Amino acid sequence: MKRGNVGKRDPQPVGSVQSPKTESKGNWPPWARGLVSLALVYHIAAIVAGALAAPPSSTLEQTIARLFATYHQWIDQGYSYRYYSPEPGPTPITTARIRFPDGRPEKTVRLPERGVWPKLRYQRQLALANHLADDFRIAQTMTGQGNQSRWARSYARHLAKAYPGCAEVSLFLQSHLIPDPEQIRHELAAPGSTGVDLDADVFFTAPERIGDYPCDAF
Amino acid sequence: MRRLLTGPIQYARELATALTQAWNRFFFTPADPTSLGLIRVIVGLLLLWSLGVYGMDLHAYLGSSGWADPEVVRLFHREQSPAAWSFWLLVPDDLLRPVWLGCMLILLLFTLGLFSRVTAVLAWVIVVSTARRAPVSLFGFDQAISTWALYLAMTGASGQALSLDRFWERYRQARALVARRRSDGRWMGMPGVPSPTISANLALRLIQLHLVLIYGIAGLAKLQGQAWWSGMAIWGVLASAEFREFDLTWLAAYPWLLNLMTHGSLALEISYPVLIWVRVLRPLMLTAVVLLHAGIALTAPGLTEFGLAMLAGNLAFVSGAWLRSLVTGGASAQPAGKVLYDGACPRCRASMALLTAGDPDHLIEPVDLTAVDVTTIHPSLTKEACLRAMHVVRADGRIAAGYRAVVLLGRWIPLFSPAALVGSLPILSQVGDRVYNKIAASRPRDFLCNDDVCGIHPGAPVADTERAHT
Repeated sequence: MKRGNVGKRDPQPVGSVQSPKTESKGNWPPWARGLVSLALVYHIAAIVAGALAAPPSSTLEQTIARLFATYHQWIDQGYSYRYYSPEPGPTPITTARIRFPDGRPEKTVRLPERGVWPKLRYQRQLALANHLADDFRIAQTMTGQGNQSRWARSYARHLAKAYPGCAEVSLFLQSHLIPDPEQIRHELAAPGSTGVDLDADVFFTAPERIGDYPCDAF
Repeated sequence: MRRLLTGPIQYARELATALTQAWNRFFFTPADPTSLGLIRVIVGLLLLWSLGVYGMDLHAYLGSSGWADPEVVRLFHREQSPAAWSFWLLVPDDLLRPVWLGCMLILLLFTLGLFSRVTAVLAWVIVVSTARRAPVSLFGFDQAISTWALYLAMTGASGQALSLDRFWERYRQARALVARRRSDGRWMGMPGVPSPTISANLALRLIQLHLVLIYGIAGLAKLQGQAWWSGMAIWGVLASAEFREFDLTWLAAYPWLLNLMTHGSLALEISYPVLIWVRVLRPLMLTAVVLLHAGIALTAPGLTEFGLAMLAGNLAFVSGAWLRSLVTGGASAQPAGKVLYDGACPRCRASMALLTAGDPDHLIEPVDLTAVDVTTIHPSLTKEACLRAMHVVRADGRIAAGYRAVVLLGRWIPLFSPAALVGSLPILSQVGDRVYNKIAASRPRDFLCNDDVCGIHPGAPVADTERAHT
């Protein structure tokens, strides 16, 4: 930083009133400003409505958001932006076991795969596991059968194609839990403690079977 | 009684006038597009990186046998978002890699700001198409980047600064200007500081408003969670084994630190929508936001791109003049040097046009040595020495000549600084020096017209009266 603070020496900072010379040079005709203003009002209303409509939300908020649904879909907006809300939770992990009829050893695929590089790839895999976990819970609630999850079937199809000749793909879901800070504090304070292994079995829930998918079904 | 009626009407009128004026001032005041140009560069690099990483598992994410079965994606869209679209759903597997390469090329052009109005729209189409083709692979980063790309595309202002579009425009104008030199040998190209425009202001305002909404909603939504009230929510992020890069469990012994981080980040998100508009607090808020995203990236490296995307958006609150001053040192430090070049040499004129086109503000002042007494620039200069090699006279009086002057100018001008950095390496520097001297010694110069024959067939377009002095 060579001088000053952000915005301190800005002769024309965003939002400041410009000199008459600049104004006249860059001014838009009233009809253009009017049209753009209408578009701005619509767009801002759509973005705010989309952010407010995510649960928990009122019927009014949801109704207003529905008015902008097509616009949201068209421009890829309408997100809720509720990161780490209501609070950071356990991380869903998906495991696929792929069995082969020809004696090949069973293959296990973990989502996210540890050690994958770059980290953005890991984050994408984490998103895959997250979406599957959500869809699995929805399928359980809606149909009573988690294996009816469309994304589970889609993932199984992908794995069946990625491992030609396989017999069956089984998908499992488990959660990597957040350790209790009190427990960690005690363990770290214990004599001879070398730290806490957060990948120990105790920090995972038992694997929950999503479903078994025959490879020849795809 | 009459006042009971006229009072509210008068108030409504004044309110409408005030709101209209405020609206116009907020959205329709021309703004410096420099920060928008920088946002475009960062968004472009992030898009290149994101699509590049998709390219490592191209068929797994965008192919017909990918994680997201195209039929399921189509069904998903039909049921939940019938207006959603994606060109990737039309691309057969055999063409996946060529189309991906084409998209990478478009994103590169967008990042460089070449044909920026078109490439900005195409970049947005690529972002949305990719998000819609692989909805199961998305997270916060994709939402932020899609939003900034939308505003860069819809306002058409992304190439108004820090772009090759502007560079070429300035180069063309500088070529014309250098060919019509002023009689004192000095001339100024198109100003380095881009003109404020309403379209740039619209893009910046929309990014600002969207950013305010993102932080505000993210903060308010957290108030539902008990852990955010008890001050331990950050522990959930730091101790998540699936995110972490470093072992931060030792922080469990310092609950007050976890409380401070939790309350601090929540307070920042909730206060950002209000305090970011207070100019005196803006640097403080921006610093806090940088710390927040740096902290998230440190504890969860997978969210580095998300942090960078959010910081790119925050640049909408940073003034263009301040950003430029980081490179140029501000108005009081300009011009950093006067460049004495041979105005009778077409190659030298083209070089000067190139340098002035890349000048971010007014770092250099070109002086045609054939039109001035060089001792007025610096008493130690001689015309013979200046004709042998280009000279740069710095503001403090120091002089660089020949290849060293070229490298110095390259270092000053950000567009050429990577080349200058390479060119200043020890061995390359020696080679560069020799090559420069050879080129300078054999450079073509304008044909001097001093008889009737050449007057009919002029040797060069620039043969004005001043040239006769050489």
